[in-house]
Amino acid sequence: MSAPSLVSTRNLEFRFGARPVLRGLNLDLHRGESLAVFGSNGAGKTTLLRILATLLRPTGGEAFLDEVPLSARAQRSHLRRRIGFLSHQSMLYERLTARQNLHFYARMYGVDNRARRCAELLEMVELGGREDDPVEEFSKGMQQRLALARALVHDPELVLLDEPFSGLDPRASSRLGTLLQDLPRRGKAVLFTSHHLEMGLGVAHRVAILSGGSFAFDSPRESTSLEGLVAAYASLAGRGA
Amino acid sequence: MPRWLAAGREVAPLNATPPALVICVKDLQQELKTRESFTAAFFFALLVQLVFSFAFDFQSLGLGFQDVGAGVLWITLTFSSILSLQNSFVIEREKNCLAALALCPCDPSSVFLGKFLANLIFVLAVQAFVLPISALFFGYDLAAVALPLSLVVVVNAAGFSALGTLFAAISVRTRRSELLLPLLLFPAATPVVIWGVKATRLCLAGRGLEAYEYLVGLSACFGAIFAVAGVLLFDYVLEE
Repeated sequence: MSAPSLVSTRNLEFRFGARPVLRGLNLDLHRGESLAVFGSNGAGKTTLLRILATLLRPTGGEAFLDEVPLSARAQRSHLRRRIGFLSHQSMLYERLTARQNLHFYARMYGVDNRARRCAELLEMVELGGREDDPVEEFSKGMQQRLALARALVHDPELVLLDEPFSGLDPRASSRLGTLLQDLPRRGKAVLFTSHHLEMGLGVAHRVAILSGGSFAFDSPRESTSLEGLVAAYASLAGRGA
Repeated sequence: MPRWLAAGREVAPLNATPPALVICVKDLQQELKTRESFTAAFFFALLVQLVFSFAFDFQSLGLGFQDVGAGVLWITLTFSSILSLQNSFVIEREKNCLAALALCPCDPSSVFLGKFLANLIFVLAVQAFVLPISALFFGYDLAAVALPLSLVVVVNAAGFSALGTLFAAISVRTRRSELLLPLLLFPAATPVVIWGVKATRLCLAGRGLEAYEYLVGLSACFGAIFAVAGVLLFDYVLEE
């Protein structure tokens, strides 16, 4: 693609103490594109997402959003406004209701028409009838869906999702799959990690396997078969992690 | 150039609620839902007052409440405040909400100010219940000293909350944060507690403001220093 990447990394490195997690990772992701990242536990998927979300600083190399370094402190608030991040943990206040949680984050992001936006998102994640229930009464799957709504509350351009399918029942997984296909159509760049190879391959434009601290496999969906992906995962995942 | 000077300080748009206020309201909303911290702090304060009222027989010792009451009040305030200070960041740690706050496009100082404000309101709410009860237990005329005592309590509670909010945020990422916070906070808060005790003693003795205004001033400076420190350092505190 000739258009500049929305998000890119150049020789990205990260170490936990002496242990290298990411080693010279290069990535380009464009608007309207989605990338599924697979890898064994500890491969560095979450670390990569946390760096792109500006929660962690790389120990080497640089990550960019629209060619602006994510480490640029003066731009940080502006950059963060453009990023939505779904973490392993829900980042929700369990004692507050679903509606109060979304309204809180909408206020923090300065979202206009908060009530309408929050109602839309609650409908989207099928929590329309439970908006006034405390989050602590929600099942894991419901919390995951609400967490997704939280990550999207400010309509970010870059959507980072860390294992978004975890805890979801088949119906909710299918709905999320549809959403992950819909977001790029609306011009968003989506990067998500997953252990579900079939699901990831089914919804993303590109699939990649993180192994040994960098992408050992990166292929467009149309030229990747599930069998090929499974074989690549079996041979690459866990190598040098 | 220091990082805090290099950092772009974002100001909320005029039509938006300041993030600090949003965070403060959220914290108070959570507390109103459960009243966990308030109930714990209130009953803790009540018990401390009760124990002191039985432990010291002021009259047979020839002492008035004004002689030892200031100490009793500040021991109560200090220890009961710890409960809310700890909880204010524990609720952010529970589901990694602290990371979500760090990701919000506002100046990190807003998070500090919001938490500080919520903690201060909480501490003052507890005191609003504790002071009348202490007057009941120890038989002093609260109405006669209500205004100057309120000034002393508000100023010193603000100083204590500013320091406590900063230290609570620093300690929350540690494994034994509930142990670390008092260990960090009590030695550092000693000056404001001492000034608070002295000012309260003079206030309870019926002395005019001019007798302890320098103590209130010192406490205000203490609070201002740690509030500014919190504003400047909170970016580092939130960073993983």
